[in-house]
Amino acid sequence: MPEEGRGPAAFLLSAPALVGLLLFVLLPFLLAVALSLTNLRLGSPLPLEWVGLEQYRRILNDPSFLHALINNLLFVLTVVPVQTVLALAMAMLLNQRLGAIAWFRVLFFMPVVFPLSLVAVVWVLIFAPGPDGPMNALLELISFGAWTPRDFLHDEQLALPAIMLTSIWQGTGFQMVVILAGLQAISAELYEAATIDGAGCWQRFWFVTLPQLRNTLIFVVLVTTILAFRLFDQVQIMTQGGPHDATTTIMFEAVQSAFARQQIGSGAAMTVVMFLVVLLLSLLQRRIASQEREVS
Amino acid sequence: MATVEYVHVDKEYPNGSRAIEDFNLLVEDGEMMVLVGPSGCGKSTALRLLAGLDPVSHGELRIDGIRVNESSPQLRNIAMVFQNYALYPHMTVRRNLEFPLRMMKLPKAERVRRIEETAGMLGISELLERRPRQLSGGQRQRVAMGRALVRHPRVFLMDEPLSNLDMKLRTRIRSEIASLQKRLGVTTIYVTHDQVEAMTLGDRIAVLKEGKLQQCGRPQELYDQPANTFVATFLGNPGMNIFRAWSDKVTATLKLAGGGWQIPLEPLLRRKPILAQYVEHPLLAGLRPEAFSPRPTPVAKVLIESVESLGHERLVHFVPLGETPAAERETLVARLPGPQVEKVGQSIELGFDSGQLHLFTIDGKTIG
Ligand SMILES: Nc1ncnc2c1ncn2[C@@H]1O[C@H](COP(=O)(O)OP(=O)(O)OP(=O)(O)O)[C@@H](O)[C@H]1O
Ligand SMILES: [Mg+2]
Repeated sequence: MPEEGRGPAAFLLSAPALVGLLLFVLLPFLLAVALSLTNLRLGSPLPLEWVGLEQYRRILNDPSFLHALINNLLFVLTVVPVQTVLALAMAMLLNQRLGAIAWFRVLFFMPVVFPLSLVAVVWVLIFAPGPDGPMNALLELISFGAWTPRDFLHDEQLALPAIMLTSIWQGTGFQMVVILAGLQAISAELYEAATIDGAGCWQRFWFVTLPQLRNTLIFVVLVTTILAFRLFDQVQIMTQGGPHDATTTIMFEAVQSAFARQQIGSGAAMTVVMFLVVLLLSLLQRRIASQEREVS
Repeated sequence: MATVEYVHVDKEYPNGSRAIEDFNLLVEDGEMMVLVGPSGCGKSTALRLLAGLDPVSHGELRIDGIRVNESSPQLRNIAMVFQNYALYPHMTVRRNLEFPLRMMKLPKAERVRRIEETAGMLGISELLERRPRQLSGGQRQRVAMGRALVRHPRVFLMDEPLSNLDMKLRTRIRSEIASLQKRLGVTTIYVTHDQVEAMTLGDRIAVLKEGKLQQCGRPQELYDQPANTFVATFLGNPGMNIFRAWSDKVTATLKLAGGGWQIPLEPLLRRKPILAQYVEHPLLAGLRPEAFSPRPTPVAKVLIESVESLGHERLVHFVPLGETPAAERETLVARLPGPQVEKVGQSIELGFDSGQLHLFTIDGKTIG
């Protein structure tokens, strides 16, 4: 940190942000940690007790919660890379100075501004069972009739991929816009220099675009990862976590536990676990990112 | 090494602006050709066309006599130094130098050898592990040159490579570039808007204006025999004085600057017989600032308007006091040796060496 980053003025200037952070982020988190150490249940006649790590022991032995953890991981491992690559490809396409590009930008960004719940409802219709469901019809068409109609959202194998598809459709636009901004910040002279130095278009991508986009990509991947861990809306609307926990997620389990079963203590424990997982991943990602600094 | 030819080259940008028109130029093998002209005259465009960054609209580009219009930039083996250097910010200096070599798929040992050789030649061996942002402007400039030279290109292009440097550094690197270019013998096209750079660096200079080639030749040639008033005023600092002239048949004299100076036509006609066609026509006359001195004939009374003293010499701005009304008088400038002795508002006698008189048609073309 440079010298001017310290001193009372700096503190004063950052005070509003700090107060907000304390009030709306740190305080609720500490409260969640505290609650997760109790047996708090809404409307329970039992007295409030300090139970230590009992809630954590319990949720880690809860098969539904373990399912949720695995689902979340699968979701992150699929959605983050696929969505990032897609967004990068789309951004590169839109970065060409073509005529109708402004319209495409609007088109690709549109899913982002739709409310998630609306998107989910639309996709429930798309995934409708029977041969008349649009997705079934499409798959039948492109497989020349080899596809037998399935009920995606009630199928243990297909429910999670269906939700992944929805999320990718919804989230790619945002990533694309961020990446596009990153692409446009790259000086055209660098590409020209690389061209003259003998680089073809693939080499320009590899040696100029990617390294120049590095910080943008790290940001985008980090944000998408965190959003992926918070997966809730689509699950709530499309599958309710089913069938047989095939699509349940940590957030979904936490909400279920806290508000459906009114077990505030265990719900709080679940969110704390999620927080720790996200924190761990963020640290890991940062470490990887800083090692990759010398992109050759 | 290689020769470069522009043959009737036109460049029209998609928005309709014509950057270059009917451009013809032959750059000899190993020659240092300087393209010079005011901002927006198409110098960068000329380089970008040759490098293959922009397509030619009409005409032909040849390297070693072979048409290259269609070949991709990667295949032309032309190196270029950009005005802002365009170093790869995420790579060390070593990687920057190595980049074109890797694109050529040279083996590792050869790459290392060439990097060491080039870095040694440019005096940047100690900087190899740094990144561009850890370098000063002059160091970046050298790295940019290194990246261009390391691949032993057929043609070396430089687009105002010194314009971001301070005066002293510019002078030093300028002479370094000159000697490096002579030593390596690479065919080079050097773009600048600075006439001093052009005069000192170029084997030959090509002067451009609004996309059209005005004149091409050795620096002294352009200085002594400018093809038109544009070249005459562009080269030299300050440029040539241009002012009205009129040749009178009856008195057989040439009246300059509204009759302030009058010189006999006879010797001029002997020197430039073609001048006979222009007798009794309005003409333009040109005199370099250093052609003036208080002594030689013809002498005329001039009014001093201002004086800039440079210590060892002075630039005297003056108006000749002729028959013309005050409103039409033209201000000229003379370069006189020694410290300032004149006062503003004073009138003195000033003459010039008529051997150094240039004459142009009224639309600016040189006569004779
Ligand atoms: N990409 C472009 N699209 C349209 N017009 C252009 C483009 N690039 C340059 N021009 C026009 O072409 C003309 C020549 O431009 P160019 O960059 O070659 O000038 P220059 O001589 O290099 O000037 P400077 O000394 O300022 O660098 C200018 O009038 C400019 O406006
Ligand atoms: Mg230019």
